[in-house]
Amino acid sequence: MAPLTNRLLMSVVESEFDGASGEFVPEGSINAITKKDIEEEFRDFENDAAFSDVVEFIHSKAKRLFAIALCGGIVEHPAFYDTMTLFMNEGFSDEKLPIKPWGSTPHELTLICGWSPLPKIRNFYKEQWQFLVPVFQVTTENQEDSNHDFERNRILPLTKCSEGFDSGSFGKVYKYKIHPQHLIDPENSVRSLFQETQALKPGSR
Amino acid sequence: MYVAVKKLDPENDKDRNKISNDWEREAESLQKMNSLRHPNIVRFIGAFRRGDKGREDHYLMFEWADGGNLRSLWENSEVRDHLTPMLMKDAVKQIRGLATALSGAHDFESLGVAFRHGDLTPKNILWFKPKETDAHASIGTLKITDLGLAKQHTQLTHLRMNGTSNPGGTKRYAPPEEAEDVGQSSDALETEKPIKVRSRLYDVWAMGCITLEFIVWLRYGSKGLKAFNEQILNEDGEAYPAPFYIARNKRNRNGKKIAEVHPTVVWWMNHMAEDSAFQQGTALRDLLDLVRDRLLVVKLPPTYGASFGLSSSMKRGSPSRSSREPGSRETTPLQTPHVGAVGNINPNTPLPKFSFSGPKEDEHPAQPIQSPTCQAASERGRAPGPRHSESLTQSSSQVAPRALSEHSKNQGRALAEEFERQMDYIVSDENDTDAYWLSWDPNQVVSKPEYPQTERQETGDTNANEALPEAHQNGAVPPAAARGLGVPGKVVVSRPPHRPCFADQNR
Repeated sequence: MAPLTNRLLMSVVESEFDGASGEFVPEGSINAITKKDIEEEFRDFENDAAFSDVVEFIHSKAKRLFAIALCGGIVEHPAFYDTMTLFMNEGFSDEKLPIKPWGSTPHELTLICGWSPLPKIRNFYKEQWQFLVPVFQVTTENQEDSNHDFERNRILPLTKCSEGFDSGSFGKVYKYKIHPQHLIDPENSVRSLFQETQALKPGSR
Repeated sequence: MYVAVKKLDPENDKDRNKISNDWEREAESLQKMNSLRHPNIVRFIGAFRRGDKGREDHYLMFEWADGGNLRSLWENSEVRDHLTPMLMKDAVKQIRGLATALSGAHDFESLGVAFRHGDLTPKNILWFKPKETDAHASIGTLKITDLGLAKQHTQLTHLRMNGTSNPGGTKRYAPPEEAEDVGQSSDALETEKPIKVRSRLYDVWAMGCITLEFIVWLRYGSKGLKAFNEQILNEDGEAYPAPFYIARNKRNRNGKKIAEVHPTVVWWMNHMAEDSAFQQGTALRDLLDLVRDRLLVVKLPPTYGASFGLSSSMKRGSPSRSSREPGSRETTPLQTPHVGAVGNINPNTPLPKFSFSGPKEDEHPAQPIQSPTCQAASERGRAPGPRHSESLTQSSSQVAPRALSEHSKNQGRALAEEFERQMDYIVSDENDTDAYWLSWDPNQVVSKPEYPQTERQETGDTNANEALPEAHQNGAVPPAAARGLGVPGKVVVSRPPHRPCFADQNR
C-alpha cells in the first residue's frame, strides 16, 4: 500500500450519530495531502506535459476526489492519472461532490470519463462519504448559510456519549463528542473548546 | 470535546411540517442570540437536518455544559460547603450575568428584535464547571439555554391581543398572569386585558423564583432548598409543580381570582430577613430585597414589560438599594424611574409611534445623574442606567433613599433591565468587602428555618385564613405565612410571631 493511502486509512475514526455508524477520514488528514504526496503517487507521469497542472489542480481543488479514488481503489494506475487529468479538463472538482447515485439517465462521471455504473460509480458513491464529513463553524450573525442540509448517507463527525434526556417539549438532548478538526470557533466563544485549546498550548496549565 | 445536540422529534407527519418551520425560525433566533456574545448565554454552534427531502430529521447543536444545570450545582455540596467571600461574590456575579443576559435578550434596540425565554427554570440554566485551578474562587459559569426557543417579539407584547403561540412553559416558575382565571389585583379592569400574552415579564418572575432558590441554597444548603421546595404546595397540597403564587378564592372586579405571592414563599422571605446572615449591608439582604420587592411581584407595570418605544427617561432608572448601617458604604442616593406615571396605552396604536411621557419637566426639574454607582458601572464597561446617547435626567427633588422605596415597590414587577441595574449595584466595587459577601461563619452548619406548626391555634386569626386554599388552612402551611400577604407582591416585614431557628448546630 502506498504511503499516502496508508496514512489516510490509518487516520480513519469512527462516527456514530443517531443510530447510524460509520468511519471517516478527518479533515486534517485530507488537508495534510501535499503536492509532494501527489507527485509521489504519479511519479511515473512526471514527464507528461500537464503533470504540474494536474498536481496543482489536485492540490488546490480536488484533494477529496483524489483521496476517494485512491483509497477506494476506484481506478488503478495508470488510468488513475488519466482520470484526474479528465477531471481537471472538465472542471470536475471537489465542489461537485457528493456525486449523485446512478440512475436512469447517464451519470456525469460516465460522461466525463466513461465510468460504468457498476462497479466504479457505485463504489465511488459509497466511498465518498468517508471524505465528505462536514466541518461546523460556530455561527455568527454575519454568516449567511448557517443551516446545513445533509444527505441521508452523510457521515457526521460525532460520536454519541449519552442517551438523550428530555428538554422540555422540544425533543431530546444528546451529548456527543465532536472531532476537534470538524469544529471551527473563530471567536473562541465555545467555552469548552477554548479551554481545551488553551490547555494544549505550550506552557499553559 | 463535547457538544449538545438537540433533536426535534415530530410525533406525526403534521408535526414534521411544523418542526421544519420551527427549526428554521429557531436557528435564526439562536444565530441572533449568538450576536450578543454574552458569556451567560449558551453558545449556539449550528443547525442541520439530515435525510431525504420531506423526511429529514432536524437538529440544533450547542456547546456542552459539563456541570449539568443549575439544579446540579445546588445539589453539589463541594461548592456550598466551602463557601468563601470570594465564592459568594462569584455566585452573585453569576446571577448578575443571568440578569444581563436576560436584559440583553429582552432589549429590542440592541438586536433589532426582542426575545423572551418563556420557560426559564433551573434546568435550562446550565452549569459550566470551573477549571480545577479556579475552583477556589469560582463556582463556574451559568448560562441560559433554549433562548432560541423563545419567540421573537417584533412588536410590543401588549399589542398582541391574540395571546402567545409559544408552547407552555414550566408551571413551577410561571407567573400568576399566565394562569387562566387569575387576575392581579382587586381593581384591575383595564390592566388585565392582555393577561394571556406571555411577556418578557414572565422571565423576570421566573428569575425571581430562581434567585430566591439560589439565596435559600447559599444560606441553608441543599437540604434547606429541598425543604423550601417541598413546602410550596399547590391548591391540592402537592409540592410539584406548585407555582410561587396562589390564587385566592376571592375575585376581583373582573371576576378573576386574586393572585398573591405564595404564603410559604412569603414566610421564608420574612424569616430570612430575620436571619443575621441577611442583615442590612450584606449581599444576601440586597438580593432578598430585590427578589421580594421587584421580581416576585404580582402587580405588573403598566407597560407589561414592553420597553420598545419607551422614551429614554422612562426606561432608565437607577439602582435604589437597601438601607445601610449608618456610615457604611453610603453612596449618592438614586432615583427609580417613574414607570408608574405612564398612562394606559391604546393597544391599537401602531408601532413604533407610541411613546410614553415621563414626569413633566416643570414638575420635576431635570438634571443629569452624577452618581458614583453609575460612574463605577460605566467604568466596568456597562453603565447601569443609560444605554443611549442622550443625557439621562431625573428629578433632584425625588431622590430616593438607598432602600427600595415604597414608590419603587409600587411600580410593579421590574423589567429585566432594572433587574440588571440592581445586580450591577450589588456587585459594584463599593460593596467589595468580605463582610458584605459572607457575614456568617461558613464552617458552622446552619439549620433551615423551622416552621411553627401550631401557630394557627395561637393566633386565632381566622379572617386571614378564610380565603386560603384548603391545603393552607389545614396546617400544611403556617398561618404566619398567610398573614404576610396583605399586599400582593409585598412582603410584610414586621417581626413574625414565630422566630425561625437559625441556631447553628452540628451536622
